Amino acid sequence: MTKKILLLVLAVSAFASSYGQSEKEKKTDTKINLWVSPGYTYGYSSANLGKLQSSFDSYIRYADEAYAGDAITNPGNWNSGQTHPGLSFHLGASARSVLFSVTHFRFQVDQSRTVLRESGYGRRFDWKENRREWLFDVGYGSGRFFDVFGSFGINGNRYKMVSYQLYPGGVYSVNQEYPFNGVFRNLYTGGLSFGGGLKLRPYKYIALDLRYIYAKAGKEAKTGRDPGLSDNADSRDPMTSNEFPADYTRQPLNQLDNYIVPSFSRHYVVMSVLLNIQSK
Amino acid sequence: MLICCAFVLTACNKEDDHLGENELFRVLERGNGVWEIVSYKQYTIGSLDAPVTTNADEEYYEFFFKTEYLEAIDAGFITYPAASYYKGKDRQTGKIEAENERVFMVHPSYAGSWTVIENKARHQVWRNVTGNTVVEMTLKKCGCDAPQKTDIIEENEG
Repeated sequence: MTKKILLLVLAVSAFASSYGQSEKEKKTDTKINLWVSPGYTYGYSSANLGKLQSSFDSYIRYADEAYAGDAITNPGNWNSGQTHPGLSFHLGASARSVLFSVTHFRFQVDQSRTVLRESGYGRRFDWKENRREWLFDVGYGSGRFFDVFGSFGINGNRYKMVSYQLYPGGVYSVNQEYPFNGVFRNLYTGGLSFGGGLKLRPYKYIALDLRYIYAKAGKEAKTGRDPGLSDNADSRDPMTSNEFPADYTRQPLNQLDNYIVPSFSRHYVVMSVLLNIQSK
Repeated sequence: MLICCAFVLTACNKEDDHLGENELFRVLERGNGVWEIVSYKQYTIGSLDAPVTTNADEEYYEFFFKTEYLEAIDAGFITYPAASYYKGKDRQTGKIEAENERVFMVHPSYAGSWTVIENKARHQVWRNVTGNTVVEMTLKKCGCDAPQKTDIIEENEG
């Protein structure tokens, strides 16, 4: 899959560059067009959150057994695909129809699941992905109406799982009164990104950027252990596990391999509305 | 060049440490770092009694980075997020952890772990649950100096 995407990116770039080098273009379009474009982004993305789902399923099984007689409502699976907003910043140049730009995207992808028992007690899980993309775009730039480009670059991501205890009456708490409570984070993780898209300039200062990005997560270490989602706050009881459990049914939880390494690749289709400030 | 751009573009989002913890502390310590405790709301989970709200009596928190010398192990200076609690002449200072979801204070009054219920630049509501007893503390950003701080300045000038 990754190789196919990379080939597609290279093909688009090669086509765009050769098109940009045509004699006709050289004669008529020799000025360099520079642009800066901050923008608001909205899009859809999908990821395989299987590790989260497996942990969540284990909590349902745990709660079923630990609170037998207190029926639970299962809120359903974590969404693999969802819409979300974002911000982007584009800095680029084109000359002789060849486009080159540096693009930055910031996405916040959040979702929540609540397991509520008949008694009013329960647990809420808030999942937060803070994702960044830094991309090089290379392709054909008309300079005025539209650009077509392929992209490659890197991504950097941070993940957070907040696990709240729920009480009757809608009270929720992440304090240390229950060992399952916590704010579990990871170290910064990253990987390579590929994609492509097009940019339209319907008005002088407005541009639309439509693109696909595949943000591939880095591979997990084959030896030793990767850092998982962990809660290292002073408020946490040192006698309890500080890691978000991969399997809640494995008691006690603080077993060496009972943790989640958050490395999630994500496919995006996003559209940005840009304030387009350009020299030409 | 890509790496350079990455550093430039992320510079505006730097946080206190590599794990991104204490992100709320940056909000709390902004400006003079002084917050006034407005009120305490107390109620019991599962009770039919109405919550009791008590207005605070000139109580303040000051949030700041504290630097001190570690004499015990002669390890030099360390700097950490701290909170001072003021009530009249009473002043207590201790370490704090302040994330967007949770605040933990080590020493000042109302020490313990608090769940962040409302998180705004000038308004905060934090909740502590102990057993079935719930206390919600409301704070608002204060343009004033904390009382004890004013006293110290006056003493120095006098």
